[in-house]
Amino acid sequence: MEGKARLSGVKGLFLAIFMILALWFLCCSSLDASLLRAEGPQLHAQSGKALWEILRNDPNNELETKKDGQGLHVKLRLLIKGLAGSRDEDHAFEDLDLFLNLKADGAFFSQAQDFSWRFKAAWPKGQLLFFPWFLDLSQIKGSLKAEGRVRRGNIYIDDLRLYGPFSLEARGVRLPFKERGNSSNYLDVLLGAGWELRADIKRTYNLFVKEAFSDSHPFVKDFGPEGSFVAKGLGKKISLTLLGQVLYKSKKFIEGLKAAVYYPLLGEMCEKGFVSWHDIFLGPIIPKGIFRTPENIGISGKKLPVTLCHDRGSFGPLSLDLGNGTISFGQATFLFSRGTLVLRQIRIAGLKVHRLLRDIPLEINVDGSLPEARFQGDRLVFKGSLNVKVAGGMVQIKNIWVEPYAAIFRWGADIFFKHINLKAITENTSFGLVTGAVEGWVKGLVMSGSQPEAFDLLVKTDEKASRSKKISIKAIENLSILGGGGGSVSFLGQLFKEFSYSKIGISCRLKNDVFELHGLYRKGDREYLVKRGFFGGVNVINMNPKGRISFRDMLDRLKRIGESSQSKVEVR
Amino acid sequence: MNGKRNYSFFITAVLFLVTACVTVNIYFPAAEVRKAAEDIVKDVRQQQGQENGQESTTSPTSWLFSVSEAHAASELTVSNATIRQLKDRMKKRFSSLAPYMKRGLVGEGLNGLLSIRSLAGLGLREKAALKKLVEAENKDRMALYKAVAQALNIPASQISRVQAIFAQQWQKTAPKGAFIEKKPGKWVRK
Repeated sequence: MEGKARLSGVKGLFLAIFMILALWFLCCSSLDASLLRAEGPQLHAQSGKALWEILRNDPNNELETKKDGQGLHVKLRLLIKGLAGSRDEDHAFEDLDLFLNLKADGAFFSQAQDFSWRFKAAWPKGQLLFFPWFLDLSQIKGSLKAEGRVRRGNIYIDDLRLYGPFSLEARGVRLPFKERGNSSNYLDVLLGAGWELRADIKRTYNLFVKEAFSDSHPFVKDFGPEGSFVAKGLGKKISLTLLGQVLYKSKKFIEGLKAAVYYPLLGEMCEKGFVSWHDIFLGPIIPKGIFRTPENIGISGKKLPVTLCHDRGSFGPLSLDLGNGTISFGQATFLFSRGTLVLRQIRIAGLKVHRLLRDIPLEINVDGSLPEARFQGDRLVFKGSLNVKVAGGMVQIKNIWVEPYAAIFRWGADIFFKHINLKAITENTSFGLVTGAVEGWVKGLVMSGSQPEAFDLLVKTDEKASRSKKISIKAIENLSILGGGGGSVSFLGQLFKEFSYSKIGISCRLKNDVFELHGLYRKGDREYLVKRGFFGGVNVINMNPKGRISFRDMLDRLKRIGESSQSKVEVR
Repeated sequence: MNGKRNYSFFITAVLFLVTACVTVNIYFPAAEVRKAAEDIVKDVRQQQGQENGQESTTSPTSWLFSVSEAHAASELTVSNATIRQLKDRMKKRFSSLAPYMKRGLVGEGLNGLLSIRSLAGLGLREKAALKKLVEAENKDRMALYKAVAQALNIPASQISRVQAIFAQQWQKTAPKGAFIEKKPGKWVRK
């Protein structure tokens, strides 16, 4: 029996339904047949059956059947235009044109059900929503070619080639339809198949990361990875290879990036790999105006060991030379199931910040050991402390934390300082010269982005450091501006260039956009920011009794510093 | 024996007195939250679109200069760097959201979050764009409520009350045509 006919009969219906089911499985796996509808110019149907009625009456669609001793031979060609469907508001396709070709030979309806098949599909246009991903298929035209067998309800794919936003080639895939729902079966699919996925990183990143996540995570817009990515099934493990570079705001960030790692599919195994690069240029990611020569600051020629286990990935150790010093860490471990990161043995040795940063007239040397950093909720909390040698004194930074995934990036720390030589700090600034030494702290510092959100600052004269204590007219004027004054010293005061003082003591607290500025030394209702000695000198008195200054006022005052006192300056 | 009984009685009495004296005070600063909600929502909704297209500049001292223009808070306002930055983002986003709200596609819920009421008449691309917009806005709103609660020393368990107070302000200032949730599950068009 042989025939060439338009689609008709139960067998044709079976084939079309099989083909559509296969397509669903491959493209948008769990769509409900009752929700399928077609909205193109030719097709208006609400169910698979109605759709079938339309397909069979379309002259573009063709079915050829032949029966012989070896079974049934079927050739089906379909052109479906304007197909649309949705499972819910997050999963839908629209305006989809599909060209489908199916050839099948064998025993379709016997108990053993054993037949071979060959399938081709192309989608010249359409829109696909799998929230948060939206794909305009006319921009990523693709095709699917596959051949294999169907035996006892299972589909065996001998050869599959998918070309679209990425290419996928697979051999020896068994889709256990009868046992669907059991995840171990999907693992069997991966273990048993030979497959290779190739992707252009730029295109894939733009389609699947940038467009989908740039609203919720704006930083993804700034990154531009380029190169090629290959994932390959190697039996019990997956090989992942990457070659390329990363741009940040269109400028080179990582050059000569290479990754070769392996992910084990079975629980008891761990696989070693590496990530390497020729150069990392820090210039593009650091805000302008911080680094001396940002374009020249980089980290070159490094290889980072990476170990992937079934439930975790770890990388390290890594040591980076930066600013004549070294930043290193022993190991970083990412736990996939908890989505949490643990960093161990972070060390900074001999980092000379002044060689890196611009407008730093002081030598700043950083050393420190942070034995562990671990997520506590959304916050990555560091144990240990950093020691900074600056201006003849010592600054200790403790209780460091960052909130990398917060809506606004935040970080914070507690900072303690002592023996800080004021001359070294002020002599090259526009604040005005002050000599002497101070100690104090910044407790509970919270930075939101690049803005201070909260802190508790105390600065006072360090009595243990024996230095001369002088303060210039300019510094007095600026200090009085900070205290809310006009910043001018009386005529008598102008006769002197500098004055001696006995103590400096200032506390400043920022909370809820309100600064509270106080002098530490009180006498009656007077609050002294700077107190004169027994035999003379200068007093700077805070004339704002509550000491409360709004954030905006403080910004105005800081702007006025250097330009020109309610603060009362007494000269004796 | 009698002494042992007296001892037990004494312990029991002390325990009773101690537990009877435990008082849990939960203070919720509703008036302050209401004031914060009024100020923040007013700021976000009334200055819509003015800063569109402005690139934020970042330098070590940029906060000294760039923040002050955007910052108009008095000492009494609940504000900090996080709240200011979130407000700026929401202000910019509102110009994109408002047309959808006016069309009745997006509504203001009782939980202080936006809710998509309908996607009718939108292509898949627009549906995706609107959903992402709403998702980003709700993420920022939750961060805002958390920041306001922290600023007013409100425990995390009370954030839903902060949300409810903000919801009143969002609904009050929602554009005409927007859906608002009057009672749980009961939406009306403004």
